[in-house]
Amino acid sequence: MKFLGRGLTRVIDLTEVKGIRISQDNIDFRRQLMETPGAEKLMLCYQCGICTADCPVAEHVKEFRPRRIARLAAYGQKDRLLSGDTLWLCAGCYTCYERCPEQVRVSEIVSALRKLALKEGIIHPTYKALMEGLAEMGYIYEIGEFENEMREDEGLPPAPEPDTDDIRAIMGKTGFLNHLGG
Amino acid sequence: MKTDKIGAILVVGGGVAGIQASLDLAESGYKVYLLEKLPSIGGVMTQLDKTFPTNDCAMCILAPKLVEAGRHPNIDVLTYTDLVKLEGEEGHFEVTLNKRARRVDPDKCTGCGICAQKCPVEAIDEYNTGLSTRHSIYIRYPQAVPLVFVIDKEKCIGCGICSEICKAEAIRYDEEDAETMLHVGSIILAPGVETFDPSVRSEYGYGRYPNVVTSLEFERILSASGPFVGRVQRPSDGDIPQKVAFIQCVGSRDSKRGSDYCSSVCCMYATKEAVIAKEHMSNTEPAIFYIDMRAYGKDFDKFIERAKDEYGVRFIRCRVPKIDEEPNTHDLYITYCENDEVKREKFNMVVLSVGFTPSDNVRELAEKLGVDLDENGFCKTRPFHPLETTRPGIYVCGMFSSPKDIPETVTDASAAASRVAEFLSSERGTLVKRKEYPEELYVWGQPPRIGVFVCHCGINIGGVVDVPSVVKFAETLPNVVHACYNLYTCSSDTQELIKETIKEHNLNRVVVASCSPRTHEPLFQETIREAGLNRYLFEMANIRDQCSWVHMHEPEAATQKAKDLVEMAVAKARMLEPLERPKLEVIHRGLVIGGGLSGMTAALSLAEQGYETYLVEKDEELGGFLRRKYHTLDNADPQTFLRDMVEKVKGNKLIHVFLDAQVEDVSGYVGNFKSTVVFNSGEESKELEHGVIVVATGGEESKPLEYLYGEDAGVLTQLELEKQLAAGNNLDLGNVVMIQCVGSRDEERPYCSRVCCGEAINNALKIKEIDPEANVFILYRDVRTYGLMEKHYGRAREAGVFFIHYEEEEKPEVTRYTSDEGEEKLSVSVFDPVIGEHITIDADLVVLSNAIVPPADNEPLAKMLKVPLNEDGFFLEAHVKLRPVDFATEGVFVCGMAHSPKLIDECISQAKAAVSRACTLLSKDEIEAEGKTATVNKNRCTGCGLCVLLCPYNAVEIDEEEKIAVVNSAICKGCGACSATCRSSAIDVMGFTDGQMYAIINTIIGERR
Repeated sequence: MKFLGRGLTRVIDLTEVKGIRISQDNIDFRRQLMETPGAEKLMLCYQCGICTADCPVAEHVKEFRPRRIARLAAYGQKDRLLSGDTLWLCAGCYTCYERCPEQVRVSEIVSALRKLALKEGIIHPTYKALMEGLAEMGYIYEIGEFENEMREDEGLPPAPEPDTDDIRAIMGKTGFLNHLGG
Repeated sequence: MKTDKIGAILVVGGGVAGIQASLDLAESGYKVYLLEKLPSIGGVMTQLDKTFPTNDCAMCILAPKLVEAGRHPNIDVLTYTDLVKLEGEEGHFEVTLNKRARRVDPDKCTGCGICAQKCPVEAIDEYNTGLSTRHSIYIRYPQAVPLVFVIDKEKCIGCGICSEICKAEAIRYDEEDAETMLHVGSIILAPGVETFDPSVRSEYGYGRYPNVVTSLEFERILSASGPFVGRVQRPSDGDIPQKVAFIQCVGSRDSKRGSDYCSSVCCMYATKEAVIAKEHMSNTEPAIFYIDMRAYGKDFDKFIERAKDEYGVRFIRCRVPKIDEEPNTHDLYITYCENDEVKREKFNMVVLSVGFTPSDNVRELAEKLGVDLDENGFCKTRPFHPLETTRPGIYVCGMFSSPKDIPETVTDASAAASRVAEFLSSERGTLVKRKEYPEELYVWGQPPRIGVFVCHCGINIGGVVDVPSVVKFAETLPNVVHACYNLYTCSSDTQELIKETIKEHNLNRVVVASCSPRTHEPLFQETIREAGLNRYLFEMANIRDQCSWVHMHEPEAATQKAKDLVEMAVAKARMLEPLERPKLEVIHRGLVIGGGLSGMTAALSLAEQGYETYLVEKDEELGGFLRRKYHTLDNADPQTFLRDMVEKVKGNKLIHVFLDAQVEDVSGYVGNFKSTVVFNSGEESKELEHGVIVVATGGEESKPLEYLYGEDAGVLTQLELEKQLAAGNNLDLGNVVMIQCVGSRDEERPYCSRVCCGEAINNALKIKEIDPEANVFILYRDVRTYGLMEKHYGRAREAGVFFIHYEEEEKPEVTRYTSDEGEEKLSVSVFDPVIGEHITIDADLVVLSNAIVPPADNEPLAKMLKVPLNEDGFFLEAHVKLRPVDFATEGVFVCGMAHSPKLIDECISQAKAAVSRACTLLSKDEIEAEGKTATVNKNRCTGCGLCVLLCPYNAVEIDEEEKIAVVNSAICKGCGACSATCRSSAIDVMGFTDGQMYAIINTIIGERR
């Protein structure tokens, strides 16, 4: 894990063997997670492994295992899930969502966990950089001449100038702005 | 409105369930119409290669039943026929049927098959699941019943060849569909289900990748009668696949696609197919990808262990997401995760273990009949009434009510028959025909004229043994006047052929060289009896099981052995004599041992059918295990049900209840038993006379020796918890940890107790209902919520019940510790293999799912009844697939937990099934006993009494006056123990006399060599 940045205190390898003693905190965190949209069906998982077996990220990154994330979430392992950067490795391809026979929606659980992480002030530097770009430019990456030429070839007008005030207003309302550095 | 009931029944569906229901009813005095939409009966079971866990050949065990149904005088088999309309009500239904045009006259067709040989049209062979072709005129499979060809209207080009070639002039091109009408009192539905169409799950590539096949297709590939005559090969190139993967739960346990149930049998059939593939080709490397291994049936776990240890079948706990194909080689890649490691592995062939789903046809049928279906399309039934549909007078059995295995299907079928007979018993015998036999031909003193029929048995025999040369050889044997071979000697056309040949050649002895007399002797005996010969003028040579199968790699030696076996059989046949079958009167009363749910159900069913019944219960109260059940998964109330049932039993004049009592002694034989019942109170014992015995001794709870049970008040069994929950006791329900398989599936008890997964979920849901804040953890090895129970597993997870898998090698640990507050607390530790970590839970309550064990008094009772127990101490039925409630000892039946652990509805079904089987005897005034019994030569007998000591059936006594041994031929089973031990050669077993045996032996070692 190379892309450690601000907000992340340590790299947590979810495959590291720890041992879990289930506490009330764990149960409370699970409840909090399950009340977060997307994670409602967490407990439906019967660990068949289909999500991990077909996860394109898992194929390349041994620390990333969708089933393990769902399992640790069910065990209410807040610290291990939120403070590591494993959570941020999900590419959001929704393959697990598509495959899961019980409609557990692991990709949505990951999103829900990210929301909770954000509440704790934890955000991955890459995401943060992207969002900062959005707040400043109105795009997550810069639109230059090259992009506009390509648009012209396709008969499209140049990309409109974004209204960054509106975007910042939305970010402000959702509280997202507070997480972005000055 | 008519009030008379009609003593006839319509059975819809001619699979194994429909056949069993029909046979039971027809044997009990009712007229049966067996409706089948296909051109022949037999259903899916005819397509199976072998059956688990014994690996019996499916066709070999089913064929005798097919033939029996086909030739039963009280069964009208209506094939190629659809139900159009139903009117009337229970007791007197009016059914309109549409008989589709078969275009072949069943009365004329001999089934010779020349028409199909000459038919120029090729069509997809549905029987071989599309892996081969058939012709436009065809039969579904070689042993088809009825053996009448049918013209596929869609495919026929009307060329006229078959019509010209048919010597029997059976072709009817212009035949039209015809409507007919039936009047019946009740209807039994046994339409079965379809296999799931896996092309819906496009990620598995079925239909696109040639080497991805369904499990049913693989059955055909494995089968000797299949498209590749038993050679396991890939559809793409005919190569033998080395690595074969099985993917479980295709179309099952998939709530996303609307099948939130388990198909109940796929874990076992996949394991069986893997084992058989390995047997066919020893270098096969099968791997099974599964979620939970659901080996919940009798002796199933042992089968799985054998598959692992003896056959090297790999079991991988992972649901497979997709299959990729290498287009050049058509090899297949499977990605899966094992212990959280993502792997990609190449296989040469993949088998999809497809689940079951009710077909559109069945939905239509249900609509026409006005019976309700559940959300998955299975027939709706009520708790405690597993055989009743929502419409009175219409009953259901088999897969249509829920996915189930063959024995449960057969059990259901018999039970539905019993349910019908309870209602129609007043009409018993009103519409049936008695089978009339021609007078027996007198053969005494006549020179033997022997006919020899050698069976090809597809390739089973013919693929190894040179059958024509065996026939040629048989023709040279003394007294053989006719010899021939048949493709399948057991098929119904061959039965006709044998009868004709007997007449044509004046045969007075018949030899069949085929398979085992165990399965087929009665069939051939019946055939020769119909031709006027005494049934004992028959001899069988087993040239399959004992020859072609065991010497499959030495065809020449096998052919020689087959000739030897035939020669031996002919030598014996020469000396056969007609034997009498003693007729036994039947006492129309039953004895039921055990007054629990199963015993009471059986007693009530017997009484409903008009038979006086003795019910013996060892406790002071009726009810057994059911007394301890307070709630069920489907929210029924077992206690009310039990109270009603006890009242009904006590109030029934035909039932005599003996409480606090035991059966001490049983003597007699089928139809004529005498039992002594003793009372624990010291009350005078009672002598009972009855015609049948139903064993319903139930099961018991094991007493856990582990997990601090009995040491800590916080450790309970599931039943103890259930009682407390029902009593509304203020349990501290904070953290409840349930541990599964306590005392089951271990070395001491290598079986699954079947009910515990459902019971744990039942209690867990109850806890969540009482206190949604409670945390329930269920530590399991495999969640075995088979069939429709799977929904409740889903409900439990939805309610937040936490399931943690553990491996046998890493069992949970329960410890006591003192908390910081100084409290004594329980803590459970378990290794979760999914994340590879130890989980520790502070438990307020630890609940053990302890094993169901057989009662200790099964053993003396088994000895008394001369019936066997299995290794685990449960009663062992006559055949695990097709005779699930019968014993080899006639007149004795088994049901409920005495047979093996099972659920309430399963006990009810099995109890009624046992009664149905019993009523096939009780409904008769007399039955015929075995003819091959021991006989004493008075002049030689010294009266030493050794035979009396040795007879396992207590059939021999010493006549005190004459001082010689006397055999009761009604009890004698012809085992020969007496004959073998007799020092003065005074006892012979008829049909196995010393003279006959010497004739056999001399053939081989005597004169010839």
